[in-house]
Amino acid sequence: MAADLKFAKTHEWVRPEADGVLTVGVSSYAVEALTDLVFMQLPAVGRKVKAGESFGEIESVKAVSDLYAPVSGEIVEVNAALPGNLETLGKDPYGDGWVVRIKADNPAEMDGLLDRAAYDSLVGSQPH
Amino acid sequence: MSQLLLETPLVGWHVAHGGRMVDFAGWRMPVQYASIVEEHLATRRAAGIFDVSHMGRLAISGTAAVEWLESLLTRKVAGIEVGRVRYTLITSDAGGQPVVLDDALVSRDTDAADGTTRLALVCNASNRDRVVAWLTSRLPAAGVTFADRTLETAMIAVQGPLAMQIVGSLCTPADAARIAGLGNYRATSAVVAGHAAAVSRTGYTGEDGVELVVDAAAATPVWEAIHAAGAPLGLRACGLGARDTLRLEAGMPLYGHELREDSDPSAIGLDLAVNLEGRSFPGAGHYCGLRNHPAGRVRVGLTFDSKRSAREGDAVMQGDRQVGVVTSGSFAPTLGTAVAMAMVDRDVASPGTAVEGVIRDSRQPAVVAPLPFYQRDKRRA
Amino acid sequence: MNTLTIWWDAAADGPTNMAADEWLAAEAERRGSLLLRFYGWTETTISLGGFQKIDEARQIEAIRGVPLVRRPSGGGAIVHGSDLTYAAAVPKRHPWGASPQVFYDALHGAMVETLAEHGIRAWPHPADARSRHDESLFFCFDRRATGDLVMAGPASGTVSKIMGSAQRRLAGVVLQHGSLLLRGNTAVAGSARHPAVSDIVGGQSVPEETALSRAWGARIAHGLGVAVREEETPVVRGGDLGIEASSSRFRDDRWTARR
Repeated sequence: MAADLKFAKTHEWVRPEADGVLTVGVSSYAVEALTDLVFMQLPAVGRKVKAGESFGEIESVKAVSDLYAPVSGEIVEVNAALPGNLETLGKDPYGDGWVVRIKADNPAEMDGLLDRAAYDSLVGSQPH
Repeated sequence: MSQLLLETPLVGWHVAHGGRMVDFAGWRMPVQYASIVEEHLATRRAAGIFDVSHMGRLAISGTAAVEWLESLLTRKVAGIEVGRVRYTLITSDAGGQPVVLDDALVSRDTDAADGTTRLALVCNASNRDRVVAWLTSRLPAAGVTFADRTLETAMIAVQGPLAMQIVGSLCTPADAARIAGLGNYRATSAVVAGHAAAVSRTGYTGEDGVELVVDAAAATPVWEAIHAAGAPLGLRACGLGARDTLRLEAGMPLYGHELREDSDPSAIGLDLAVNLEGRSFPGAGHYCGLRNHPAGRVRVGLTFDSKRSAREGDAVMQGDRQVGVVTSGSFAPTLGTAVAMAMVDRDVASPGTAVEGVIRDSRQPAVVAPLPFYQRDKRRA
Repeated sequence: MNTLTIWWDAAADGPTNMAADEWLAAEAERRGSLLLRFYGWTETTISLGGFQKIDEARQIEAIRGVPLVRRPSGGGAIVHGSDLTYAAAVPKRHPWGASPQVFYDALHGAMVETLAEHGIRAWPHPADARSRHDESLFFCFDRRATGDLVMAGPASGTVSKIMGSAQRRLAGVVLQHGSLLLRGNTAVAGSARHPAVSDIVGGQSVPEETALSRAWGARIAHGLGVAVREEETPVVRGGDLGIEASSSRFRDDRWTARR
């Protein structure tokens, strides 16, 4: 996993690409906690989101969880192949399991996210 | 269709006709359509039609088939005539101590074109996987072919005083006569409502009737034809609820309840299912020993003087002493009262003995009764 | 977090109930504690899981004409009206908020013990292959998830699901709501009608709903070592909570027919 990943407290990861576009996915911690993934609802391309707003849902046999936008911006791409192949989320959560790409309104918002070490200590301290 | 809960070819019919679906041994089956009591009474008065496609249907053939099955079943297979059906147990000694894996019906079909013997085994849905695994593990290198035909076929039971008449009305006169002439536990083949069927005069209700095996694709047309022909005469579709109350009144054991892995067939009253003379099926010596030295509890019937029955697992008491445990129990519509089958200590097993069934926190008085509780009038019209 | 707060709500319609459940989740996050709400339905209603297809519901003869509401949680369709319905919400930082199964097991486990006290034998469906992908079954009570409560009956050899729950996991809080099939619902028939506890043990052996709910709440609290506090004003009556306004989201066809 690349060292340039940042994390939201709600377990989404973010990787900056070129042109202020960010790739967003779900951390392996969150994917493992869900188990038995069944459905995923992705947003439409072009949708504008605010940081902290729900942009999609994921259903496991056990629960429905929201996916939260780590930064404000516009959804410029979604991983359309993912809902039909949810095992990919578990197999490659940081690679092929990416969920959306967001063009960030304000790249400085990334500074408010957690780096790898901070995220690891956050999940380390979560009840299992 | 769910991959994990099996469904019979008739599931669409059941749902469309108000069937309340439940999980039975991994199959999605109707427990009732409208009323269990009505379905039960219809079967005793006219006829009931039952989807029993969930039961295992195994086909065995080959030059060594008879000898092979003979070595594995508790009934004799050698010398079985074409068209004969026998009730048998299947035992295993794979785990050291012999166990009863299942009860089943074994029958001999007409020979294949090249003269090889063909046999069929019908076992319980709940045991199909392990019976198949056990038999497969015992296959010889050659001489026996064994196939599980459950999912390619369907099985429909038509039971009740009008069952033979209703099924016969859907056959040619020749086939109808041959079916009517079947003795108890005899089988033949016929064309029913235009579809080939294996027909056996067997059942699980205590009534006259037949069980038909057809190809899966023929299940719905045959079922609908029987239903259309029989409904004006009082035939009703029956679910597992009525099937259970009917077999309970008839004193018939259900694997997992009266019959279990560690059962002594003699104590259950199933000596007729076990030929011991000169036999070497798995555990033969063990079961011979049990028959010669009876010990442990025996199966009896219990009648209650109320409609509330004790159920599987409830204790049978005499004073402060637990004298047995209930294996099946329910309200019996034909008798108008609750009945149960139980395994009890031998010293309380005589008919007429007063005991109590523990139903939740209360004690219900009961009397030991001989089985079956109900017997049909066998005089033919 | 040293109390379990319980609301006893009157019957309301589907959208109001879903809005009240969402309010409960938000309130659990605000208070930082475990909240529990018992409620009812003014008429027989089907609640659909978040991702179920509305067309599937429309094709089922057995539920024609029955009002539908879509839950924020997943799972299958449930027929409400004669069931014991509950909603519970817990902050994610609470041990019961950690992972989905923990919350199910805690509440369902407490119900197994409460039913046992009333002489009713139920047990949690074990983790097995069956617990995975049976989304093709429309009704929740035809499905089996690990931890769903089941009972033997109504006929020998049958096993029936009598309690199921569904979760919605939000950023800081988990909402779980569910249904215990205490009595059968005579407003529906056929495949919409699943064996209820009363069908299995007989109507006279079924505990009264409020007494059972109270005993369950007490057992949940006892397991956590906290006290029970019962709220006076029901959630759906509290006019200043905005339930009526937020229920409009669940009345909206764009939500109900979103799939």
